[in-house]
Amino acid sequence: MDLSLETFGAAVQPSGYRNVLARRPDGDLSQNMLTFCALLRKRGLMAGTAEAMDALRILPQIDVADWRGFYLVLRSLFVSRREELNVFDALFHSFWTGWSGFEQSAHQLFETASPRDGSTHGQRRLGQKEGSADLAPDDDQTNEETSIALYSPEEVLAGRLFGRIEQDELREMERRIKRLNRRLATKPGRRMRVGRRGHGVDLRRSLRHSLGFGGDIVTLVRKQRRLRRLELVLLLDVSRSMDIYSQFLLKLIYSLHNVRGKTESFVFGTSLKRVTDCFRSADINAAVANLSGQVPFWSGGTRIGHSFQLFNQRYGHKVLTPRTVLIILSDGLDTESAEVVAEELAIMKQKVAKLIWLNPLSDTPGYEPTAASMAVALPYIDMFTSIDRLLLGKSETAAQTA
Amino acid sequence: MIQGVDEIEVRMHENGYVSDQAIATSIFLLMELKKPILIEGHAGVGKTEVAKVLAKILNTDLIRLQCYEGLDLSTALYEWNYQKQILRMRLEDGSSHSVEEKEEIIFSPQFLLKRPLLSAITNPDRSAVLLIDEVDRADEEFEAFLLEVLSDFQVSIPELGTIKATHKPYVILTSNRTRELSDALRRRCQYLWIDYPSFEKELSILELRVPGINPKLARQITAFMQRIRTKNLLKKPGVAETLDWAASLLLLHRDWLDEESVKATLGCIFKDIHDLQRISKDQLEEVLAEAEAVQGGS
Repeated sequence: MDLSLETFGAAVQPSGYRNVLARRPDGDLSQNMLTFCALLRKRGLMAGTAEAMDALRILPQIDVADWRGFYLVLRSLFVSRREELNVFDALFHSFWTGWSGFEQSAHQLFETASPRDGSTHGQRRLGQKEGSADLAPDDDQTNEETSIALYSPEEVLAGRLFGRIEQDELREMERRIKRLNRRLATKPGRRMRVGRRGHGVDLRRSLRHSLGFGGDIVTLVRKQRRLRRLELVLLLDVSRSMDIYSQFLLKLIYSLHNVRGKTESFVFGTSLKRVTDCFRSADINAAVANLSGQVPFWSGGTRIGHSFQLFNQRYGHKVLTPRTVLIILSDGLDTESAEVVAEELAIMKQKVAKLIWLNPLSDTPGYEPTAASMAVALPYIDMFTSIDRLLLGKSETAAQTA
Repeated sequence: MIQGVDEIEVRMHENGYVSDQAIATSIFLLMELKKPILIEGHAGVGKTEVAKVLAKILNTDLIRLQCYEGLDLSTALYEWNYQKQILRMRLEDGSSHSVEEKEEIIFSPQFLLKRPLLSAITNPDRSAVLLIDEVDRADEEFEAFLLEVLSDFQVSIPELGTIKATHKPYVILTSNRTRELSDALRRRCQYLWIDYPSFEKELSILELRVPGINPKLARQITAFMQRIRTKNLLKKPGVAETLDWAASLLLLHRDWLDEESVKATLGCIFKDIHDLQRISKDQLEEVLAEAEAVQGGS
């Protein structure tokens, strides 16, 4: 592979190309291209040898004295999603040094992007981290930092808040979740399958079948809609005001993961953290221990708007689909502007099948959703209820109130 | 044959599309490497238009596959013409053909209905432009199948065998980012993000697409749209809305923007009831005042 590339590279160095080469003192273009790709891959871009070959093949046909042309070819081939543009630009600039015209165009690129995409320096760095293609929440380094720095206080916290969860409590929860699951589980998809109760006729199969009878269609093969599971995404408020529900919440998430399989969970307070992986453990107490080491903001303040913003930026386009039921569990007590909450909810609402907000306070007699964040959120919510009512089902609630 | 990025840009302009170097570079790569382009961007920035104008400058067919949830092979690839098959079987009733022979007859190409993907790879004479529109709306299963077609440009039909592309099509995929596309699909494609245009670009689009528009009105409309996009809206108006709006104002014989004409035509700009409610009178006046100021300054 190496050898073919080198000969290939040698073939594509016409005289005009010196301009580019001169910027990199160590010369060889094909080698540089591969090094550049390796750098991009390290930052999570999907730039492989095949893409590098494509670039080397096309470059002789481009006016290479033109840096922007060179930049655009590489960008088209090596970038594969919008979030990677920032990373690419930064790396391009530092690797193929010396093109002064670049900075301005790159700048324009970001200026026109929506403000959420990072206008401040801090956010820009955050955006770069997003470039990693997988859902892994953070890179190793930050994980290490938090777990070392917060090891002992977290232990105490976990003991105080979570207690030990007994198996039979869990069984009770799972029984209730299973009932909920039947109501949430599926809706008819658009694809068809062979079925007895279907209204449509599968002509292709009917015809196939008929050949055996000399072309007379004796029986019609029917088709019906295939049921598709809805996906569940949970956004859980773990700020101090929610402390008394913590144990309950943990049981809820754990049971949901256990019963439903495809579920994504996030916790938020002053920040946001994806915790799906923590719940893969077979033992709930192990899962909780795992969790407590990873969430430094547990039982802290609340910044709902900010957390939602983080969610939409980092994960929104990956986990929210038209087949998603998004469940937000929060008391809606916030210290910050409610406007952001509304904005971000609007974005979520557009992407999902159903948006459910569970508010533990709503069971309190006489509760009105007047907290600023809660009030602005209402127009975007398909279902506003308490956990108990959701789990018990409507009929039983009616019976209770009667 | 078209040579070079610059020429593509010029030819696109001749055919009514104001592009830029980034778009032209992607098309150049598509023509040279046959590497599909995945275009993402907000609604109404002209993603679909790229494919249309490419078909025009290459003087070839545009074959469009509109994706939706539940899109399946019989709609995307091929379907047997059942009615015709049944009729044929009736005719075959008295014949001496064996069951195998009958099967061969009714599953022959003349009973095949080509859907977009199959039409695209069997296009006679020259490569067609295949537009796979809003691919994010189709489900994952379809995406997986699409990958297969895009990597080999061949499809297998159980009754007929494998059909190979005679001329590989130029493939353009568009996505509105309602769903994350798989890495594998992204890997097969080059990536192009089309953003809302700058003031200058939007103005030249307007002048190109709405000929005869009053220059003052064109500048005002552009300034207005540029400003309104910075507001907090659920559905930001795209270039398509700009063009619609300009056309409506022309029909109403307006030569400049004023509050009355803007109010009468708000429906061209805002396509969401929340936005119509959200945009207050003050905000509208502010944007309008700025739009008028732009005209004064030039």
